Parts: sequence; C-alpha cells; structure tokens
Amino acid sequence: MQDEYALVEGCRRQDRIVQRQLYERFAGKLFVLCKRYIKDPDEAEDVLQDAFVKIYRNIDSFRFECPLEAWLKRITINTALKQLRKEKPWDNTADVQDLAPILPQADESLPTLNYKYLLQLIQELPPGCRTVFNLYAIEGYNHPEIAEMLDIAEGTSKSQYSRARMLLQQKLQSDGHPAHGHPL
Amino acid sequence: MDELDKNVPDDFWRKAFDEAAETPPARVWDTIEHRLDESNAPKIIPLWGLGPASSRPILWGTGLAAALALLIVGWWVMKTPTANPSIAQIQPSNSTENVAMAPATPEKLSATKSADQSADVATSLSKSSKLVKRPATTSASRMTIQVPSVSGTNDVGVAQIMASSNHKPNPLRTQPTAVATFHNPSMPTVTDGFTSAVNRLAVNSLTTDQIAVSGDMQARQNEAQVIEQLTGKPLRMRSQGPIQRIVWFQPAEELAIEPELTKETRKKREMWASVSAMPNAFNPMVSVHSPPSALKTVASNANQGSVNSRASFSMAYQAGAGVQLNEHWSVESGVGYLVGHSTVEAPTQSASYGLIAGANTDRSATVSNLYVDALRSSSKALSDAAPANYDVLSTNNAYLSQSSNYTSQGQQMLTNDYQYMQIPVQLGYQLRPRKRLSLAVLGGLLTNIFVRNTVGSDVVVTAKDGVYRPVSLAATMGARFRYRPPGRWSASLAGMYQPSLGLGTQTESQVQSQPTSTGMSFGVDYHF
Repeated sequence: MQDEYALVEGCRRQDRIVQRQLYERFAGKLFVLCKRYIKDPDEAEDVLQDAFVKIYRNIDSFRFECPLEAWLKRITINTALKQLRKEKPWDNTADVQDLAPILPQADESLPTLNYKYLLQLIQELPPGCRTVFNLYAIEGYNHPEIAEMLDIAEGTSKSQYSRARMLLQQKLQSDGHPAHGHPL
Repeated sequence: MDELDKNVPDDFWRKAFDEAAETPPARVWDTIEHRLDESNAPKIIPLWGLGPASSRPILWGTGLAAALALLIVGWWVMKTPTANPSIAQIQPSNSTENVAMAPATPEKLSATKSADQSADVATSLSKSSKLVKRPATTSASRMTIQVPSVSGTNDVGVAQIMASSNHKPNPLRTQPTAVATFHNPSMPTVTDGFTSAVNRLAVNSLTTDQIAVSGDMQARQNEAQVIEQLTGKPLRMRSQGPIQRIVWFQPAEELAIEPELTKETRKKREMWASVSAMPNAFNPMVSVHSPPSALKTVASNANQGSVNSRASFSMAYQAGAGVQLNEHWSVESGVGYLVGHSTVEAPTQSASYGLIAGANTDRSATVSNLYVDALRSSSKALSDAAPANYDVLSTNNAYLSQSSNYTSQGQQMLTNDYQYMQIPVQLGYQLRPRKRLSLAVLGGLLTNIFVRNTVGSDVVVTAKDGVYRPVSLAATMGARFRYRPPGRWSASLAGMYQPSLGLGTQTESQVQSQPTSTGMSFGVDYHF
C-alpha cells in the first residue's frame, strides 16, 4: 500500500521515472486485458496507450478508495469499451433470456488451462459476445451493470453472454477438452 | 432475480487471467511518453506582443541587445582557452562504451567476475543517451579499479573490477543516470606510472582508433604539464600501496531498487510559485498618546477631541514561493507591496477650525489639527518642512497659550496612504491534502518595511522622519482554498487577518499606530 502511495504521489508530481515504474508494473496485465476486449493487436496497443495517458492525466482523482490495480483496470476497460462503442457489436443479438437456466456453473476443481489458449478462445468470439463475456465472467459485472455500460437491454447482455458460453463450449469440445469438465 | 443477474464469480476464467501478463512492445511506452511530453510542454506567452513591449523601438532594441549579448558571449567562448579535458571528457559522446568497458581487454585488465557480468555493469555506466540493456535486478553497484601507484613501465596497468550485483539481461529501455568519476591524471600525487596506467585505461576504453589516439596525445600533454608543475618541488615518496578508485553509480530506473527510488522521489518536495492580489481593509489604528510639547497647555483642555482612524479599501500585492514539506505541512515566503488607504479623523485647532469653516476649505486639505501637529512635532524634519501657517498657528507659543484649542467640533478628515513593503513567512497546514480542492490553514509572521505615509495632500512621512518604525512585525493568519485541476496551474482564494505585533511607530513618537489588515486574497499558482 505504501508502495502504491509512492507510485501515485510520484505520478501526481508528473515524475517521469515514477510514471515509468507504474507502467512497468501494470502494463503487462493491462495489455492482456486489452487483448481480451480487442482482437487486433495494434488496436489493443492503441487502447493501452490511451488508457495510460488517461491514467497519468487523471491520477489526481484516485483517492485510494480501492486498490490501485482495480482503478487502473477500470480505466482500461472503459477505454476499451469506448473503442468498441464505435462499432456497437453487441446490438445484433436477440433476447435469449430463457436460455439462462440451462447454463452450468463454474467448477473450481477444474484444471487450469494456459491463459494464452483461453485468450485465443476469447479473441475468436464475435466482438459483442466477447465484450459481454469479459465483463460478466471475468470482471464480475452483472447484467444490469453491463446493460448500462454498453447502453443495451439487459436481455441483450444475457443473450450475448449465453452465446459466448455456447461458442466457447463448442470450441473446447472441438479442441479435445471435455465439454462438462470446464465451467461453461 | 434471474440466475444470470447474480453473477456467480467464474473463478476458472478469473484465475486464468488474474496473473496473466504480457509485456507490451517498447513503442507503446515511447508513444505514451511522447504524448505526455506534448501535454506537458510549457506554453509560450508572447510577451513581445503585449503592452509597451509591443512597440517597434523596444522590439528593435531588445533584438539588438540580444544579438550583442550573443556576440559577446561567442567572442568570450572563442577567446577562452579550452581546458585540458579529463579522461571522462575525452570519451566519445555518441558511444555506448566508456572507460568502464575496460574489462573487454583482458590483456590489460582482469575482471574478478565473469566477463558478461562485467560487461553488463560496465554498460550500465554508460552516459550515452542511446538505449542500453541493463540488469533487471541490480542494486547500487560498486566498482573498484585498483591501479598500482608507482610503476616502472608505461605498459603495465592492472585494473580489478569488482561488481557486487546480480546481472540478468533486461530488454527494458531505461534512462541511464550513471555517474563515473575518475581521478584527474594531472594531480600532483599521481606518479608517472599511474598516469600511464590511466592513460592506457582510457585508450583501451575508446571505441575508435581516432579518438583513442587523440586521447593518448592529450594524456601525454597532461603528463608533460604534471612534470612541469612538479619541477622545483620537493620529492615526497609514497608507499607502494594500491590506489583505489571507487566509481559509484546507481541505476536510476529499475524495478528491483524501487523502494530506494520511491524513497528518493518522496524526498523531492513539491514547490510552487504564486502571485496574488488582496483587496483588504487597512486600519492604521492611530492615536495620539501625548500632545506635542508646544501644545501642552492645550492637552489639558477638556474640549480636546480624540483622533480616530477608519479603514478604507486597500490593496496588497504579493509574489512568493512555497514548498510542501510533507503531506500536510508547507512553508512559503515572498515579497509584497501594500498600499493601505485609511481615513483619520482629528480635531482641529479652534483657530484653524474658524478658518476652515469660514473659507469653506476642502476637508482633505491639511491644516493644523491634533494629528498633523503630533506628526510634525514628532519629527524635526516634518516640522522644518511645515507650511508658513503652521508656524503661526502651532508654534507660536504665545498665540497657542492664549487662543489655540483642539475641539471635537472641528473634526477634520484626513486621508492616509500608507505604503509598505512586506515579507511574509508562513506555515501552512493542509486540511484536505491531495484533493483537487484543498484547504489549508495559514499562520506566520509578516515583516512590514515602512516606505511612506501621505497624510492629506501635502504631508509626506517617510521612514527617515523618525515617526514610524522602519521595520515592524505583524502576525498573519487565515485559511486558503486552492483549486488545482490536472496540470501545473492552480488558483487560490484566501481570507487573511494581519494584526501588527507591537507599534508601527517609534516609541518616542506622539502618534501611535498599530495597523491591522483584513482581506481576501486571490492568487494564481504554478507548481513545479
């Protein structure tokens, strides 16, 4: 915490060395986050750049009310969503709310797969499904929140998520992983 | 609620990506840095286009003056003989190698650690602006070069380089801040052997033959100068122990030494400069504590009125600087200028009251009244400079003893325009640190340097007249709001109360003044 405090204070002073330290510390995780939302690597880099510039310019508004990493992630997610909003990829799916009961829940006893493989799976999802899946399954937002963030109906959010799970399940099966052995 | 709305955490996916990290390409940081530099670039205010500076003669004059100054500086630089460069100076500026690269030549130098480690440490010493690869987990490293102090031959130089750190290549680009300091070979205690060894070291370190040769020639010239300087001086023998040269350097930007760096950056205190203007009510709190000696008969008169002063709209201007000592405390100082307007109401002599009333004189005109008479009698200079009617009305004891009398019926209003130079020293305590809208409580001392007081339209009291103290102290206290949006500028609004500590006049002066000022300050700050 003390370390984060020093980082934030240094960034507030616009100390370039400390800004670099913040970047070195969090850029790797945030880059993977960007890649989860944006398939194109160049575009993901652009989003990462935009996010860090926003972070440095708005560091004064960070009040230590949450962990620094969570704050950085939120800004990065918002930056990625801003990029995605230009295309609005989540608007083209019908409401499939009734699919919900048939979806299985996660099982923590499952073996961990390489994140690169999982990242590839996520990146292959259609943009709308990918965005909702990221927000719901990994970031932990619920559907009303996602609906507000993306300016869509809750039902649309649910349908996109259901579709994402279905597609991921199919992909896992086709890659030789047992369909019921994974949290989909 | 729908099952999907609950959002049971999907630990499988979360855990998979929790620690997932992938180093982005270096160009990402380069672009970020570039964009930050663009946004931080200072705005140039074209002063030449504003105000009186915009006039053509001034533009031409300043241009000529600048050109002349450049010529003089250029001439001076050309004329000044260039000093002999040290070994550190003769290394090529565009090279990524330097003296510390010496371990690469094993016939001259032997490294105690492995060659690649030495090379890494040596590379870290580079002052080049180019990108270098450097150890990722290196703390402050120490390099010791041992060279025999006396050597019979010029071709033997043994350097032992010890690097006490772990060295792993790190692809990250860093800003080298290493500092290499070497002993000047022209030091009198350095013998021929050492000089040669150092020269050899320098020669070995250079990357191009041309620079190496020029460095060697320069070093030989240094040798000649050393010998020349030593001519005629007694020879002092030294023991043949090794001379240790310790080269310190500290990688400036590595994650492994982050705690040290953050400690260092924490020490870097925030500073700011500010300018402010404070509209205020300035009341000199004037009183006459004893009547002029010539008017003692009047003093005992029961009809004598009293002297009152009232505050008027005044202005204080201040330029200053401050430094944030820690999260809450700050100290600031500066220089200010106070123009304090006030009105003094003083009883006139009955004779002059008659004159004033009869002639319907302007109320601001200075005639004989208790306040002015007290000022004049407190200062010989003022008394000498008094107008002719003052002699008639105030110094003619015979006249005064018979007819002079200060009466409250004839109160005269006199404007007082005080001018002070001010030097405040204030401590501030931040109640809302690190907020965009901060609030600080201020308190400190204000040194008032009296400049002048213009009473009415024709009495000017300066510090030399002996009425006012040239320097007096006042307390200053208040609270300040400061709004600081992202960036370097902020605006502040402060309410200040500044009562004087003690009298603003000399103790022997018959006029006593204890000024008090209350106002609201508006300022603009620039944070460094």
